[in-house]
Amino acid sequence: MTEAKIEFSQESDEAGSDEISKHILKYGHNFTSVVTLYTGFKYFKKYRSHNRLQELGGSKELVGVIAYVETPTAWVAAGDPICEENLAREMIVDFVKMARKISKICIFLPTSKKNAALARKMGFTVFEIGKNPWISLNTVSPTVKEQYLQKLHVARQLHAKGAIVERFDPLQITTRERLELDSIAAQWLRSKKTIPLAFLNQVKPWSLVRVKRYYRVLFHGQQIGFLAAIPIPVTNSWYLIDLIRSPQSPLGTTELLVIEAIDLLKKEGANEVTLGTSVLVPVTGQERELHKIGYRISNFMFDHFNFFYGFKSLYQYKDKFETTHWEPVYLISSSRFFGIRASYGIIRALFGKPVTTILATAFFKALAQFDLAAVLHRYLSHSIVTRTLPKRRSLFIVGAKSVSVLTFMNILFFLFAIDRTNRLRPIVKEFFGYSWEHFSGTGLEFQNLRTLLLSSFLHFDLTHLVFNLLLLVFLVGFLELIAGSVLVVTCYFFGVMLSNPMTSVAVAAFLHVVRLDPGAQFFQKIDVGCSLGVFSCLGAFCHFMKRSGLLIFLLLFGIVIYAALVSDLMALNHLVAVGIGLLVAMKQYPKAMKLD
Amino acid sequence: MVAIILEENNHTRLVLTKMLSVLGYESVLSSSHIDEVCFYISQNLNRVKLILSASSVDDGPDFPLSRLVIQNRELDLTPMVYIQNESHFYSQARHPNPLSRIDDTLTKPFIVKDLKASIVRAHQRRAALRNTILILGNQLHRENAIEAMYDSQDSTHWKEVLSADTFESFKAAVLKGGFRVGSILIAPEFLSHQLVAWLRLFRRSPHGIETPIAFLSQDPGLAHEIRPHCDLFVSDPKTVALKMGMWRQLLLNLSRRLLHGWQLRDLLATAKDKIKSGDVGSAKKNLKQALALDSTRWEAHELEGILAEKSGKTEAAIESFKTELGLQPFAPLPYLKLIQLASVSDRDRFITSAAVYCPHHPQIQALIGQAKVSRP
Repeated sequence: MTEAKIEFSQESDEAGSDEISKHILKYGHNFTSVVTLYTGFKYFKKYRSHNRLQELGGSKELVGVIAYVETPTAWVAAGDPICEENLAREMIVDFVKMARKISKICIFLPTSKKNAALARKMGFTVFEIGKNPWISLNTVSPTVKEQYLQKLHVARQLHAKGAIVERFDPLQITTRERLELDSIAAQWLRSKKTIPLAFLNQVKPWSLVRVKRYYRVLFHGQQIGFLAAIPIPVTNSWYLIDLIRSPQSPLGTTELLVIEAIDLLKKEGANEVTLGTSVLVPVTGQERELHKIGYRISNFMFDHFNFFYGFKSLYQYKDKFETTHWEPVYLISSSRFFGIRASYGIIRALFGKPVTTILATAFFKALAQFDLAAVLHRYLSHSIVTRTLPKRRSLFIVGAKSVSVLTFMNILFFLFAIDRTNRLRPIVKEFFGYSWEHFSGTGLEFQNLRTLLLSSFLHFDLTHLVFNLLLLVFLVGFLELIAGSVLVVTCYFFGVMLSNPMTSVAVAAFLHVVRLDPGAQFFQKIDVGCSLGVFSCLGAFCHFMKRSGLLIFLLLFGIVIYAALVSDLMALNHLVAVGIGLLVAMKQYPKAMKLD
Repeated sequence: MVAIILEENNHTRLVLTKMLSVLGYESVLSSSHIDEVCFYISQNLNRVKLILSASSVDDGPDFPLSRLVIQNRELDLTPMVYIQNESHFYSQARHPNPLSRIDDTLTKPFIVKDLKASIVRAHQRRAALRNTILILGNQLHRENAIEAMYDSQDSTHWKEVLSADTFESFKAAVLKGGFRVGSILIAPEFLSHQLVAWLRLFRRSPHGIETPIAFLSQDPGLAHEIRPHCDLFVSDPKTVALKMGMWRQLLLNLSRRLLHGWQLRDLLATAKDKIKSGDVGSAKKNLKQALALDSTRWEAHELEGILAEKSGKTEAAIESFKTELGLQPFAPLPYLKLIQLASVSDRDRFITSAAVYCPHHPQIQALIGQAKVSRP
């Protein structure tokens, strides 16, 4: 007779040992079971020792494993305990006990319906966090591929264009192919909005390479995407864990990969396939009544937080594959109330980093991915085909030569023209600044033309310079990239040379007609700065945008308000500058047809 | 009409698609992938009328796009416009393309007017490569054509004259000349049922649509069967001096018809639309431009006549319809219009001419019947 004695071990192997691997590959029934063999997990193990075996000097037999991640507040277990069904309750109890000894909460994420029911009976908090789509390969028709292709036209088109999907072994492919796939994976990761996840969401396509199955799409001989499927040993099913495509791949690449992988897995005798959990899918029925507020919040996030994570789009994507059934997945917390400690534990486990690091990484990633040019591109007029922006940011300087030169000259002039208080030297201001009194007395002489030109490179103080340069670099720079240097230089110099004299003449004439005396102050007012050139370019910039009329109106309105607020009629010269730029752009690129 | 766009930027592709739709392309297929574009082209070989290729997309080390365009004879007539970014690094500049077949280059930024002008230039350059005249005639016809070609070298683009004196050798010459055959002349002596049947099919092919065909006779009896397939009808004058003048003029007309074909078709289609919508001013402008490019385009004279009639200018309308009949005596509409507009004394003359040139047209037949009844 064999007498079984249960022992627990808190051994926590960093990487799954052979013993754990064998156990998981034998008893793993969760879709994430095998994923727990990735690095980064600790293991809570349960042994059964046999008297006869001990007499013979034999070792203990591993009967249960819980893979988990330790965070400052909680032990976050990856899925259900991997053991025989009758041992699950016992394992959960002991796992929780062990965690409580060191003041930690226990969280199981994601866990099955059966385990959730068990945990509820034990008085734990259970919350439905999403749904898992399952495609039963035993019930789908043999022509499943044709059916899918019929339904998903993007995949059908790609298939018709000659894209093929094949199974491959990463250990057999050439180095060039492997490097190509690595580059696709790296590009894909870079293009993701969210920061890389840890825990069960790690993207490690080449981990457990002997266990996984790989499929790739070849389009005209080139690899454009690949898929890794990880087994669910107990049910002979597969979880399509890594679905990676090149950002330049044509539409339908991932759909075709999934369809072909399903078809090939069916042919190879698999029972079921899952595409992974769709998080925060709206909860219905009785379950909804259990945590009304919690589910209301999760529903709101599902509907409105797609900018943060594609909750809805991922659900819709998976739903396209006509799943056999959607199985709910749960979160179990050993604490009676799901509070800050549990939330922090989950966040730490999911991201694998402290919250400050997560926030900093997310901020810098968003900053690196933010593309002002791409945002502006969306608002460009459809009546003009503009230039394509350079692929590398370093080439922006090459593309915006004039703006680079003008920026450099403005900084250089500023450095030479300021005094110790960082203000423009009075003598420079007096000699090179533009004033109507100075200009009108002598007329169009070389000296005056020089003043008009040089005054545009001078600035009163650092704030004045920084504000003008920001507009120059970002908006005029963008204009130069999309419209070319000729237009920018033309607008800039016409704006600089004509705006001030035209404004002075117009304002003086207007005041004369309405018999108002502006006083000597108006005629002696000195103007410096590159803003006239910049505003002239802004006028041209508006012409390149959709709803240019509205933009021009807002710009002019802003200038008038500004002039009124600072009680400075000379500020209206920006109005003239905008008009000049607009006229130059309209002359060069008339919008003959309304295509917007 | 299908236009293909190879461009990397989504926004630019969208704008180009809109512009091409405005320019009358029924279907615009675009992609940022060279392979996808090659697929689109190979699926629509006979329908692709324009290829726009952007400089920012690499044609690959094997230049698959250029290779595809060069290898398919169906694309011989399709112009390729290359869109370039002035100040960026281009793939084409990095890997000079020895196979490149670019008909025109367009630099960004540009508006729809510039795109249209570029397409016109590209069509003209493509048409200018079709510099061979094929004559189905005798030795004398060939000699006359060669002499006229030498005489009018400055004003036409013709460089070679091929001739055939049997229907079989004519068919072989069309095959051999291929895309380079820019025009076909047919002498009345060589007219046959076989030839008419062949022309009917040829005129439906992309090559046939773009190839002007002239029949060297205005004799209604001879031209009756071939009438729907020819663009020009000229009578052989008796004297040598007149003969050379006629040949030179014919070659000039055919050259203009070929080189400005796309632009003229576009102008006439626009004018027709404008007349329908009642925009007389724009229609007049379009017709003026069309006639400046090719004053022998009888369709333009017909539209001019219709426009004049609508504006109440009867004299001008009569003049336009008469000019049209001088160029194309087999068109029934000018006869009908002239019979309607001309004075009673002239009406009989036009009915008689119509009975000779368009005897089978039902309306003309009815008019002839009425005239017989009214005359004692």
